[in-house]
Order: sequence, then structure tokens, then C-alpha cells
Amino acid sequence: MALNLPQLRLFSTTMFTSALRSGPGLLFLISALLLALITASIVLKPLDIVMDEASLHGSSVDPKQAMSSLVSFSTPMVTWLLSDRGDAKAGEPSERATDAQAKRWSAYLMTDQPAPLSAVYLLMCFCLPFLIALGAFDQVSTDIQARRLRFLLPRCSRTTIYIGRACGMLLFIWAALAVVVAVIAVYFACNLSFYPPSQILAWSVRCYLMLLVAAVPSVAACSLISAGIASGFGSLALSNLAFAAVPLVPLIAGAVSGQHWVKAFYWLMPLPFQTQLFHFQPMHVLLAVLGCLAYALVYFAAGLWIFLRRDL
Amino acid sequence: MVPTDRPGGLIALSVINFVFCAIDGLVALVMLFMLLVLHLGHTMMVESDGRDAGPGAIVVDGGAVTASATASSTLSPGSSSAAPASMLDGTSTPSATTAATTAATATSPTSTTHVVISSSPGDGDDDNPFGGARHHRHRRPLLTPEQMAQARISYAVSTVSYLLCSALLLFSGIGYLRQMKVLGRYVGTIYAVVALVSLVAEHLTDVQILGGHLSHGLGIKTMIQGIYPVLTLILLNTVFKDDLAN
Repeated sequence: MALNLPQLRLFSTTMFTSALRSGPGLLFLISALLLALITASIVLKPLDIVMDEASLHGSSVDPKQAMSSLVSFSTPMVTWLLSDRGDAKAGEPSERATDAQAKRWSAYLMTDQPAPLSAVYLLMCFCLPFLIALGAFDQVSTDIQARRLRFLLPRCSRTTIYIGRACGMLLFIWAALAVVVAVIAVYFACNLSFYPPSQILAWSVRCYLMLLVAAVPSVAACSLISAGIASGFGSLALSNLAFAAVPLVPLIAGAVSGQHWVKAFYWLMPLPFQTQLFHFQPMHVLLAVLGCLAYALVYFAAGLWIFLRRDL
Repeated sequence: MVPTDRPGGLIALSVINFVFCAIDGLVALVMLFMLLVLHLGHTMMVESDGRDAGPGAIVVDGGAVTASATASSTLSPGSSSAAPASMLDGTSTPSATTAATTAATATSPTSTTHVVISSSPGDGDDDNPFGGARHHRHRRPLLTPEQMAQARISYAVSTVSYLLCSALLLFSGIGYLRQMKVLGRYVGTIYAVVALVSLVAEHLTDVQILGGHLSHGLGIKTMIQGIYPVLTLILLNTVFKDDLAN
């Protein structure tokens, strides 16, 4: 159970470099970049269409004005997406308070901050578990399958191996996300000249920090699955299946059976409160950060418990 | 050093190389076709008359057929009409031109503008064999002779660069799989440099056709086309440097 810090650093560094050298790490990086850029282009498409229409009819439209029109058009939809009414009925005080809160929140994301950036990072936040599963599925599973870890056991503790590899993978994911956020920021800074670059930079940094926090539970969940399954492909399949099942099963089961208790399955992942990371009130953000870290701790402890007891 | 264990990243890179090689090859073929069309003396013309064209109106001119999509001033998002829109106000790109040559019509409530390919510029009067009515039409070349010459150069540069990139991607992909220093690392690096240079050249040619300004800033196509060569350049010369040693 002893934790050796030099060995921990060595395992983390080795995992970081091998993640980049391995196919899954590269796949994660390229998939994340492509997803972010495609999302960004989809978000900017309405503005392109408006500008094209204007130039077709020989009139000129101020891009800033066009963007503000699009924002005012799409804000009610964002408000609806962000409002969590729970079981409150229409007209009840709690429902009215929730609606007001959601309106203020959507105004913060769409008006106070660059709206296209907010949209891209919110969408990325939802897609992040699937992307992370592509890159972080194989932390120990292939080595367990090939029985390579037994050569390390006389010199290192199991705890050091498990924590070192998980930390290395987390660092790799964070570095890759930094590249993705930088590319997105450059793309928007070049295309949306009416937003000051300082505003784009500040909001990108804030969203990057939130994405870092959102990534931790997914990496910990991948560690847990990787420790439990002695097969790289099995780990990949189960990780993606689990990340897809948590939001979809309660949705489908709830629609089919009409039972409200199935919504409890949402709480297997930090999905119900993950969007609060982008909230305008610092207390909401702090609670969401603590919630994500708590989930990560639970997954991580469960994975370590399995890894300490399994046959290597 | 003779590496025995092939990193998974190299396999992933070679698979991506082969996919991009196929895509670049197809794009080069399309570019070659466009170059052939321009070389054979076909001229893209803009036709306009003084009345509305109904939905589905067809203009036949020199063997080329264009169909008008709609008579109203509203164009559907994502329709092919968006391509000539950029061409008519002088913001054409090679891809927009490609889209425009297939079928394109820009309409306004009072007049109709058709973009067609014809063998000769024509004199301005034309019969509509489907409608039977004879009406006056104003025809003018979509591109001026200078722009046409520039478009030829642009297509030629694009065709050569796409063909070159396709070949380099294929050879470097093989080099990655066999972990060869020359075919893998050097050819891969050359590909990355050629792809970045051709991207810049293509961008600059577009700027000249546009008349000195960019309408849409940095496009998604440019970003995606630029990211992979940059990644290749960095990875080959840092992470996989010692793996490509055969």
C-alpha cells in the first residue's frame, strides 16, 4: 500500500509519453480536435448563412448585429435546456424561480460571454466522456492481459503502479484538451473579429479549467473499468457502453415505463450537475467542482480496491 | 537502433495517411476535370432577364442545363445556391466554382440570374425551348479574362499539390508501417511541409481572386487541412523520431 513518490513520477511520465505514442492517445487527440472544429463550424454556420444571404441581395449586414440577432433567437432554447424544473408544476413558485435562474444563466452564457464559445464548450462537456474513453481505456488492462505487470511487482507497490498510470493519463488528457481549446480559441478569434481577443482568451481559459474538472471523473471511471477487465478491447467497449448507457437508459426507460425513479440512474455519473460548472454564480461552480472530484474519488478508490485484489 | 516493437501511434498515423491519400486523390481528380473544362475554352456565363423565373424553370444553353431552385428571395440554407452567391459578388473559391458549374441559380424578386457553362459567350438573345417565349437576356462572363487566367493557375497549383500530397501520404504511410527512416520520417516531413505550403498558396490565390479580401476569415477546411500536417511534423520529429530508424 506504500506510495513511492519517485516511482510515482516515473510511472506518470512513462504513461504520458506512451499515451502519445500509442494509437488510442493519438486517436483521442485527433478525434477531440475534429469534434471541436466541426462543432465550431456548425455553431458558426447560421452566421455564415445570414452573411451569404445579405451579400446575395447586395446588402451589407454588420456581423455583430447578425450575431446578436441569432443569439436573441437561440437564447430561449438554451434557457429551456438549462432549466431543471424537477417535479415542479407550472405556475408554482419553485418553477418560477427556476425559470428566472435559467434565464439569467443563459443570458450570462449567450450575452455576457461569447455565445459561440459557450455553445462549443457546453457540447464538448457532454461529449467529453466518449472522447476520454477513446484515449484512456487502456491504463492497465492490456498489461494485465499480457501478464507484464508481474515483473514490476517485486520493485513497486500496486498502489504506485495504479495511481502513477492514472495520473499520467490524466495529465495527457489535460494536455490534449489544452491543444483543443487553443485551436478553438484561434479559430474563433480569426472568424469573430467583433469579440475582443481578450474576452475570447479569458472565456477560453475559464472553460478550459472547467473541462479539466469535467474530465477527472471520466478518467477515473476508465481507470476503474480498466482495472476490472483484462482485455484492452473489452475495456474500450465497456467504457463507451457505460458512458452511453448512463444518460440513455433512464431516458428510454422513463419514457417507456413512466416511472420517475429510473432517473436516479443519471446520478451514476456527474451528468445532472456537470453543466453547473459553467454557472454564473461562484457557489454553484464550487459545488459542481466538489461534486465532480467526489465522483472521481469514488471511482478511483473502487478501481484501486479492485486492482489491489486482482490476479496480475 | 533497430526497433522491434511498432508503436500503435505509427499504425494509427499510417491508417489516417491512407484515408487522406484516397481523399486527396479524389479531390485531385475533380480539380483535374475542372482544369480540363477551363482548358477546353468553356466560359462560365451569368445570364439575367427582366422577369421572374418560376420554380423548376430550366435554361438550356450550349448543351449545359441549369434549373432554377426558387423564385422567391429566400434561399434555403445549405442549398447549392449559396455557392454562386459568393461567386457573384466576387468571392469565389475553387470549391465554390466547382459547385457553381453543376447547377446554380441566384434569384431575386424582380430578375433571375443564371450561372451556366457555355462554349462561347453568345450575343444576348436566346430562345427558351421549354417555355416557347422569346425574351431578352443579358449575358456577361462570370469571371474576367484575368480572373479566368488566375483560376487556371489556381486549379493547376491545387491539382499538382493534391496529387503530390496524395503520393507523399501513400509513401510515408508505408514508411511508418515499415518504420523506415527515409520513407517514413523524411517523406512524412516533406509531406507536412508541402501540405502547409500548398495550403498557404491556395489561400493566397483565393485572396487574389476575391480581390484582396477574405470574406469568411479562417475556414474550417483550412483548419482541418492544416492541423494534420502540423501534428505529423511535430510527432515525426519528436515522439516517433527514434522509432523510424530502419
